[in-house]
Amino acid sequence: MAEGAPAAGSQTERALIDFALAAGLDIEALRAARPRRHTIERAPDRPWMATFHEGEGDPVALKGAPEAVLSRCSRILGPEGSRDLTDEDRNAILEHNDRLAARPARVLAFARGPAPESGPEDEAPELSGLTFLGLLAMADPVRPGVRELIAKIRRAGIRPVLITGDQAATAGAVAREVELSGDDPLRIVDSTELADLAPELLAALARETHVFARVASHQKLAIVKALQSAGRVVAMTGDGENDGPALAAADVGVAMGREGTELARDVANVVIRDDELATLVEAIAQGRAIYRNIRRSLEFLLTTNMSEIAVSIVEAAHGPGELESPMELLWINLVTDVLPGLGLALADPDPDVMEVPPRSAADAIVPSTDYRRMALDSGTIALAALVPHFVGLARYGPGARTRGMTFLALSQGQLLYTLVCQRRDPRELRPGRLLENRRLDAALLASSAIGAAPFFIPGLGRLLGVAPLRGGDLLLSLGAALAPTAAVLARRSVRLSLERLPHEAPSPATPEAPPCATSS
Amino acid sequence: MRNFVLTSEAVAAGHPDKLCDQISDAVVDASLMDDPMAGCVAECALASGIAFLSVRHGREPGFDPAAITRRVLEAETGAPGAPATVMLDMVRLPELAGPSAEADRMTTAFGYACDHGADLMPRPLMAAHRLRERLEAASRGAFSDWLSPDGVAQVAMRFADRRPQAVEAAALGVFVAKDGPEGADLEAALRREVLDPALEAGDIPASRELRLVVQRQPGAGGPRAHAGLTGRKMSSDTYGGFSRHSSSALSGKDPSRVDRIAAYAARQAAVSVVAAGLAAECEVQLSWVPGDEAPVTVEIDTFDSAVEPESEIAARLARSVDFRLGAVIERLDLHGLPALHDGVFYRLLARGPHFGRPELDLPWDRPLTLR
Repeated sequence: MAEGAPAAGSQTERALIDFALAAGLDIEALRAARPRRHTIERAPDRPWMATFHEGEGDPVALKGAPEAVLSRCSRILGPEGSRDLTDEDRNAILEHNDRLAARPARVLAFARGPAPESGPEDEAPELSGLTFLGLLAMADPVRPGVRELIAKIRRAGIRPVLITGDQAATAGAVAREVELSGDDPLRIVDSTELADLAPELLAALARETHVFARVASHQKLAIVKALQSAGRVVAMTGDGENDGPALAAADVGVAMGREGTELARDVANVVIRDDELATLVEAIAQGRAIYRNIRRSLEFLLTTNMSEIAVSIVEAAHGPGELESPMELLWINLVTDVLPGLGLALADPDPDVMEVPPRSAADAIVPSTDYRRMALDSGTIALAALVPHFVGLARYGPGARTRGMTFLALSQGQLLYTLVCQRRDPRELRPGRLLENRRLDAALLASSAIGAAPFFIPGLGRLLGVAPLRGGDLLLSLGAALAPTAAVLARRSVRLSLERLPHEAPSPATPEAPPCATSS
Repeated sequence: MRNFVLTSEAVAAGHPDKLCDQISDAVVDASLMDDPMAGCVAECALASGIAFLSVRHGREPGFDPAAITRRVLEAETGAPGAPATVMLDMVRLPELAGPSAEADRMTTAFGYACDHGADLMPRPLMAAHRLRERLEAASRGAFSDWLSPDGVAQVAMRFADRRPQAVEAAALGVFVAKDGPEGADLEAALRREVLDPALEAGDIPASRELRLVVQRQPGAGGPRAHAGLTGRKMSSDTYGGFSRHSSSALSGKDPSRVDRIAAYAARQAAVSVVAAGLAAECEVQLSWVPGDEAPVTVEIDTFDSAVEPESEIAARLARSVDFRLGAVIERLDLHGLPALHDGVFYRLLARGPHFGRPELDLPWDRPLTLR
């Protein structure tokens, strides 16, 4: 990786050795002839690495960022040996570097020279008077499919930001290749010292920035904090030792499982085991679906249970002796809550789950606007169940028959209502797709059967205090069970046609309003 | 007799506005070196600790605007790595690519030349720039330990019948380090190293009661002291207010942009008139409307100094000079200039006025033969 990589076997160095082998160098012989005595490793403030060798020739070899290497050189190796490095040479080399970097490629410069006077015992001696040897550009092609992934991430309302140690030309070329900024101007912050910026300025910049270039990894924390103070929820991926603080500070720290260091995995909230960006995108979709499902289940449970409470209150207010039996209410809860709730909770992600912006972190799990609809729906369910209840009262008075009618209407009504709970906004319901969630369908069938069981198993019926129903009563109760769902669907068509009236615009194929999991 | 005093100003290369011009034109140089027909417009703003650079490019840029910004700032302010942060705003506009054959917008450009000196430039501006050069030299040399490369030089010159007579006053706005000289010491030092050598080298004598006004500000100046913006020093870049000039910036526009082509073409036309001895001074106005290759008008004003009717001179210009944009680009080799100067041409141009620069051998300062 770009920054602070360890000497042995970093990606860049493996590429260098491969290149040397391909050029026909005998690396083993070279290592034997010029044994390494000392190494100055790269550091956040030292964009180069030097090695000190024994044997014949210049003792110091230097590689690193072209600007840093060039500033330590006073000579240049040409076809006729070395000569003085002129300002024109410097300009030409830097210009060449920029052009290579913009391809995009990572460019390293190489130099060799005499040992510094202070000697290699000095931790980091000042190197100068070196001879410039040349540039080597390493292309790190963008993996296929990344551009599509970035587009997907952007459509999901997530703003991808690239933080890299590479120079702006390289980072900019990569960002343009993957269309990181979409159609917007590409904004790049190229900074060697972000800490020098006023925090408010950095926060304002971060809001608009797509690429942070030339960033040392210890500065990632500042970027994460700036984005957070700009009101963003920040997820950060990282794998290096130095990424730890930023991963810990991010709202969601994501570590790479394979290439990542132990520390990065320890502080991260999420570990991507196969190191694939696509996995992360899939995880976002699943996460959104889980949240949406929890929300739907919660709203469903609240609505249906409120309807039972409403029925009980009305019955209690109407008169003593008309109450539902405790066992009956328990049975209703067993039938209508457990399996349908699970069915809702296990729904697959919507096809448009990655087409809508994320919900705001400050949102309540059930937004206050939803309570009105939930109250309306539970009222409808209760009302529909009370119709057979009062009809039964009028016909048979308080007792098992009346209770059976209420029980049937209430339990089956709630089960049917589960189907329309798959969408928060009734306008987004598409009747043709109500039965798409197979798990929910199975749960409803099973629950319906269990709900009907007391009518067929006399012992159970006695336990619950309900009696089997006949002809007209059965029809009435089943009609009352259908009513709440029919009401929701009717409301949907009324609202859709009302909306269409003033604009005469057809309702969009993909709903523009977000489904409940991700709505704000 | 028309007598007046005119003041002209020149800002030093370390002034934030001038730094922005140089950065913008360094980007133009890099773009032309990378791909002469790529097309590029660069605008820069500098503030404390941060540089903003907006680059519109016609093709994939093969250069690093952030690195260029750093290099210019390091070279001109002597502060390595400053500013630490460069914010880039990059947009690809394919319509910028390729040489422009026709105007894409309405443009009026003015060019001027006069026989005040061999450079055919008005004296107040050149006197101010000579002061600026001495100021820059002093900040790098004798006074490098206390004089900032950021500064302003102004000159007030008396004219009689539009002929320069004497330098009446000079003003130097300088940034002086904390323990640098003040008051009379500072004035004496600046007289010795800046004013006197500049006046000596100039061809207009100093008035006997020449006043030197020194405006001293403490500190190192530069972007940390005040903000800068590309194209804000148009008077100092052109004719010092002695003639009209367009308000459109020259720096940061690659030489396919009509503003820049028009300004250089107008200057060459004026130079041609004065060099041919047709007038002592000449202002040329060229105006384009969108979609046209050639200007809709070639208008001149010689301030009653012409030896033949102005209409005749204008007709000569129209007859002898091809003002179509593509022809001007080709005649002046605007896209090839950086390659002829080791990759650094427009950046050097942006240090001083865009005209009357013998050291750069500007193609638009070479007169054309008028028939």
